[in-house]
Amino acid sequence: MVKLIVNGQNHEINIDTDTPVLWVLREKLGLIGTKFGCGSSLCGACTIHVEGKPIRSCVEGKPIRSCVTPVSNIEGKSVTTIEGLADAEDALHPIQEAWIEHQVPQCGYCQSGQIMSAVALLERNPNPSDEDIDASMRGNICRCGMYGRIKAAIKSAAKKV
Amino acid sequence: MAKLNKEYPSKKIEKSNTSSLKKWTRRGFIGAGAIAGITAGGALIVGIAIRPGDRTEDLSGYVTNGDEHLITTWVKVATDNTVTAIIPHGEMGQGVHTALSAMLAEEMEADWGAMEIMEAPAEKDYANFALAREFLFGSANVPSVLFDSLNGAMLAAAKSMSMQITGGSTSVRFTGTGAMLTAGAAAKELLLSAAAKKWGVPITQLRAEKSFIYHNNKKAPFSEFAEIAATLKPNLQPKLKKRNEYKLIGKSLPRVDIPAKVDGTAIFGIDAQIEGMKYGTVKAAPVHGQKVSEMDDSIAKKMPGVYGVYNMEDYIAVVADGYWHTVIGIQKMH
Repeated sequence: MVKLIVNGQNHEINIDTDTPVLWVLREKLGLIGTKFGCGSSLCGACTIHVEGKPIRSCVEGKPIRSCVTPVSNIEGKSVTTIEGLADAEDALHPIQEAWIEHQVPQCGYCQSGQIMSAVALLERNPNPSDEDIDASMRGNICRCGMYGRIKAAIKSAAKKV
Repeated sequence: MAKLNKEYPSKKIEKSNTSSLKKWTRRGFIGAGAIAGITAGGALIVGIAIRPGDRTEDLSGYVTNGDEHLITTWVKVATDNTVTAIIPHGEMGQGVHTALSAMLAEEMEADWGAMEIMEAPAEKDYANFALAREFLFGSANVPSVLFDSLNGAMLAAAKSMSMQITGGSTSVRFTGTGAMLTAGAAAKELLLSAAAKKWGVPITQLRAEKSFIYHNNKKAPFSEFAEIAATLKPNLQPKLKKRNEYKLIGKSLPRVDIPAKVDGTAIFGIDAQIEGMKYGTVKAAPVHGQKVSEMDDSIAKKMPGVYGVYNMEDYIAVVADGYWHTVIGIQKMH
């Protein structure tokens, strides 16, 4: 049995400790917002936050690649997924609002990962330059090519956070 | 902006439109025939017609519950005045749900901001435009001079709708122009006719705006006339707006699919979940034409979650309870 804290909720899950976090989230907890892209920690679609404090009020959120991280690595640690970003039923994170304002997603498949990386960036660096954004977001790839809007949305959100 | 129907797209497959079939109750109303027309050179509108009668009773069974009336094949109005566009194309981020619902709202004078969107079910009646071919080449009198232009445009429309596919830049060009605009205008006329009947006034004194019908200072929601409208025969050649009358078309509209894509609720193929489903992974023979000579599945079979291991001649397969189990299973195969 593995004890997890996901989006502020405690879970005890009967699963092999080698299982990557991604599949625990998706198949055991039904949190399908985090996506499988490559399974090799190359594309960023599976990005989540693991740190001491949950959701958006934290300042130490580090993004990790859930497709290759075994669940044993995060046991007892607080995990945040895309579903846990908003702090209330209908309230969106400023990044999510910026994403809508700038009409960022096309197909949308990479976007959960993009948003998680963007949130982590702003929490480390509230006023990122273009170079900062490029460096931090380079691990999230988007076949639809929305990089321009992603950057614009991050800058908009930076002004509001 | 238009809202996505609560059941779309963020519910699991088992709770999709398919299972809403089970909730449908056969009430005593008939959805009017749906007419989708495309003007060919302004001279002729060729209709893709679903005849009223038991066919549309079937049709409404697929897409409505007891509180809703199917006005044409592509739009239903609920008793709370919620207008739902029924769209037979998939949204992939190309914006087709936004565009098509806006086209419908434009001609129908429905409130786009309050509109809901439903993907047409994969049902024969939504796909079977063999009727279109009948209409086109059977009983309809199509002037031979138009045949060539028909072949191109109409067959493409009939085909793309009959296969219920999304692609080839056909969704806006054909379904949008043919179904959404024309059906929207036809639906508006049906509602105005119903209101004229109910209020006992000439239809020329009525106007429609944002899902309401007005007669001087009096107004009433579409829903008040939906039941009558659903029984009336639609106009095969409804009057369409001129470009300069457009309020929605031509504007940059916020996309209806975006909110679900930023909060993790948008459903993709990989997210489909059906009660009791299993997952499978294959490992193919590395060279084309090779066959599996022998397979040692002794370890894989006993792995947790593995349901079965299969020798399929040119590939081996592991079926398990979860994706990761299949991967591990495949790794343990020799």
